[in-house]
Amino acid sequence: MNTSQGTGYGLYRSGALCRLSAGSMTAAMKSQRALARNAIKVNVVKISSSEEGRGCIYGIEFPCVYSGNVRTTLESAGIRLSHP
Amino acid sequence: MNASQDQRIIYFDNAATTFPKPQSVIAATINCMESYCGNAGRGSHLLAMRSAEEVYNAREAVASLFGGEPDNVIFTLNTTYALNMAIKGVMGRTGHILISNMEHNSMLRPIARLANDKKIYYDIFTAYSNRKRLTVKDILSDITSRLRHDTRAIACIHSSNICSHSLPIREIGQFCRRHGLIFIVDAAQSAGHLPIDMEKDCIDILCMPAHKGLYSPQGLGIMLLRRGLRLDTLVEGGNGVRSLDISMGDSAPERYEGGTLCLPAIVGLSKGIEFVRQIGIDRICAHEKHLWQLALERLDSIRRVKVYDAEDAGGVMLFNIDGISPDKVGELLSSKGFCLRTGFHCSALAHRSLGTEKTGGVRIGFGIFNTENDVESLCTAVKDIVNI
Repeated sequence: MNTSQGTGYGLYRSGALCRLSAGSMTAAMKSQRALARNAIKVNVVKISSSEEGRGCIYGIEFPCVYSGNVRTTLESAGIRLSHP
Repeated sequence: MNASQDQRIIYFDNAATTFPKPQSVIAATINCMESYCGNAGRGSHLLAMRSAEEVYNAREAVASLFGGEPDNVIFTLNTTYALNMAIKGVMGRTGHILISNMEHNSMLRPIARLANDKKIYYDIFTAYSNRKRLTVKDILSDITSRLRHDTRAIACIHSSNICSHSLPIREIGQFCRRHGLIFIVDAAQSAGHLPIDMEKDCIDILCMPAHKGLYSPQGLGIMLLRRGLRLDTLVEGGNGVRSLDISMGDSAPERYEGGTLCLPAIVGLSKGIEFVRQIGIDRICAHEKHLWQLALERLDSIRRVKVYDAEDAGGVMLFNIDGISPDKVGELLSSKGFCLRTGFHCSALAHRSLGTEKTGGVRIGFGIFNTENDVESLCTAVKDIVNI
């Protein structure tokens, strides 16, 4: 995502799409499944090194208009996507 | 070589590894190897992502069967490896640990090694006696008497690998919760054979193989952690997360999974668990107990044959023929196509508890594919050996 812009909270915007870093592949998958159970479809993606600067971070990608729903749903599922 | 090409094989070594594997397990494993076997969690291309999905599916299947969380399902090489991770992760620095007198070497040896290095010390509580049938109260009373001020954990088998004796893990787990102890369970012989629930049984760390009661490929073990429990790592290396950092990170399962996972076995595990769930653990358990009872009736009627722990029906039976070494019995049975394991079964402690520390024994390991006819044939063969 060449035009990505960090928010400081692990959320990156690129046009209409947002990426939320989860850390590991498992955390990203867990988030994806939790959202799917609430009819929110997201893709698991690798966050580029330039965005995180730490290498090999996975996260989820979704239309930015869903950002609020994504966060709320993950929080109610007990999933905190704050990368350590 | 296909074993069945030369002679009929009757397999009774299911306590070592189950055989045959369900066709669904074989098909899924082959399909993985042929169609999409990428490196899970190591890239973002199609095959890597498909592989990662399959790994997560397997984590969900394990968590669903045993009552844990998918991200606390840690894949290892085998149960021994999982137990080493658990024991050294909990006890790596100092303290006291209790183990039972029925342990396999996979539990005893890593603890003995730490004790030998003067890092920890341990005591053995009595979970089985060949002189008296122990009650739960007896076992908990013995555990209580062995607690020290710095006892940190209790680690024990769920079910023995040389007989069908099981430990009251729920009561021991509840005891651990009351006393603030970590409870580590070796489910090598019980996963897929007996019901296990991480929460209800108050288990902190559950270690098990994929290739025994879960009917999956070899080369895969599982360590299931209670939520919130953080262990020291046993192995460090690439885990696909934050490659520029020098540490393994804090997040399970990747924190504990250095190196590439065995994807074909993991895919097989999903199908193995599906197979077990379709049949039902209760039915598997009942089937094995039925065969065990039949074998006991038949073997008990043969002179010079002794069955050990003849009170606990289950998936495993140990016997000897007076005057013939277990290895010789195994050799004679093998010549007739029967596959059984003889000797000491990597379980010095358990053999001592059973009273077979000098002889070892012949072990029958029942599985879901064994039939009454298999048992009848085996017992007839044993009778023939006695009558030689």
